[in-house]
Amino acid sequence: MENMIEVDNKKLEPASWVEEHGDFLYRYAVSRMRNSESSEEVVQETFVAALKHIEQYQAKGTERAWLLGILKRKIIDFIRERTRTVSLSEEKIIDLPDTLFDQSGNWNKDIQSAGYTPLCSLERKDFWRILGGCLKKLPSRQADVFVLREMEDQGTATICSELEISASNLWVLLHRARLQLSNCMKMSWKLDSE
Amino acid sequence: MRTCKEVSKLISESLDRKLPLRQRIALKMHLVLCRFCRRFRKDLQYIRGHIRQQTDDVSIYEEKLSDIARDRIQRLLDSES
Ligand SMILES: [Zn+2]
Repeated sequence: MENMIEVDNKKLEPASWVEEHGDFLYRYAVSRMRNSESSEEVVQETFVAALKHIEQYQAKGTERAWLLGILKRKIIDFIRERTRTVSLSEEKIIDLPDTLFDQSGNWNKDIQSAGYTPLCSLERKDFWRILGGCLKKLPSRQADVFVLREMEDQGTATICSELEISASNLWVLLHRARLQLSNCMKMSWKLDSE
Repeated sequence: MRTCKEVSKLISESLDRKLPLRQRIALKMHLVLCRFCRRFRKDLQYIRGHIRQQTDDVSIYEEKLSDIARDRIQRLLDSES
């Protein structure tokens, strides 16, 4: 009977956190931040913060979900800091990538003639691998806003205030990121299947 | 008539906010006529749908926390708890 109560009354076990959740949190961080060093840092910060605020844990959710919530917050903080330090040259985001459109604003011939390979027939594992590879090729700020918007499902108002950018700036960044990502994913997939 | 370049921006924005009526109409008209822009929209919708379906599932990744980081964090937790 005592044992039952023990089990029901979920307790946190910081001593086994690294063993139980270390790789999970690390993978989650890498998929969002694209850098192993910063991901390790963020995971460490997450555990330290969790330990510090251990009394705030309410046994409603799992230990892992609680830690993940803290990690997600840490990732946003990290991206915000990174945005501040990105060089100004990357701020010049006025023009769209020329390679995708011709001078009169039509999709360029290569894209028009590329046989339509719908992304939706990608295997699940390939999807994430290819997405990860293509995110790495984007300018860091574009990749970051895409991650916050699509992977972290943050609202655009939140992203603007976190990253201190204007709404029109955000639309441009997202547009560029999506253009290049969808194109890159198709190209990578095509190369794979050849 | 808007160019595909302009329309691709409207397609992207329409994923994040409700477009003003005039832009919505322009987008709709263009999409009826242009299969390349339809294709672009479909890809974006698919990417979003796929990501949202399994956003917390990182099991396909093979990366592991390095031994050095693992030891460092473990020691940190042991010393502070
Ligand atoms: Zn078009």
